[in-house]
Amino acid sequence: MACTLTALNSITGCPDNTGGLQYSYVANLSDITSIANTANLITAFTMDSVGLWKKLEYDKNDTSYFNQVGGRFNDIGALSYPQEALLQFGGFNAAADLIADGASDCCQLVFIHVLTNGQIVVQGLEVDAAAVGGFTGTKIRDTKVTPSQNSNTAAEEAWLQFLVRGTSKHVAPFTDLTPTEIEAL
Amino acid sequence: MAYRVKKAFKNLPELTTVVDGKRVALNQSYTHSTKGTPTKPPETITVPLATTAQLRAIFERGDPCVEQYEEAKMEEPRNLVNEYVPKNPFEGVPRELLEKAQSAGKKKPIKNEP
Repeated sequence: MACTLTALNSITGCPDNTGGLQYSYVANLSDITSIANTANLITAFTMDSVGLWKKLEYDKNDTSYFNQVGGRFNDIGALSYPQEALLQFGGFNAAADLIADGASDCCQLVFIHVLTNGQIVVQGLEVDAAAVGGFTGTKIRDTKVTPSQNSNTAAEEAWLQFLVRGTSKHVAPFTDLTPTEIEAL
Repeated sequence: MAYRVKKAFKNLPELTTVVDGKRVALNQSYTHSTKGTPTKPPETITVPLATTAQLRAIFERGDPCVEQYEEAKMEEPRNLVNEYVPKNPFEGVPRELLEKAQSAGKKKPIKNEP
């Protein structure tokens, strides 16, 4: 993208700045056939089949987040965005074991996070008009899940955590698809 | 103009998208069965084939799966029987040559050689 500077003002207009995530959807990158987008806003997904986006409903206890902290190599070099999401599910059992193992074996994942402020951001995918289907996975490091399962102490909560990490060349795109439309895919 | 799925995506029989809030199949209609989960019963989903208007909407939103093409116009079938005019196969051959060939044919009939 060419150098473009745009005025920005978050003092007036009061944008919704509530942090955190409500819930997410996950699919394999290879199950996405194509996307349509307008200015880094994904307006449509076309999938290899139906029902490939799986809904992830985790605890709403102020733990879930999606962050992408940009960094430049040697301060002024190439820019990249290590993307990280943390999704925490209550419980510690055999079913959670299977889910953790299954997710950790996936090599390239895409997450759609529904933020608390209602915005919907896509982790693990970059818009690329030159690529087949109009997208690629995260260009610098693939997006994968690292599960953790902690019983913790009796004074705490037992949980399964998905730490989702990948590194992209550009900031994560948003989508204007509604949760109903995502679930219809 | 008409719209179709690009050849590169024809090998995906269950290619699916959502257009105007409706789930549609791009290559063929199909039925998909999902396994049940502890919170969701098993489900059988029938995905209808996209209509021409839906394919157009998918193309117009910039989806790289769909392309526009010009339909070939069908020519009206010609009535070849009425158009047939038998032609003289010897038209243009000099008269002398024709006469020579005729006379040669009379004098030297073809014989089967032993």
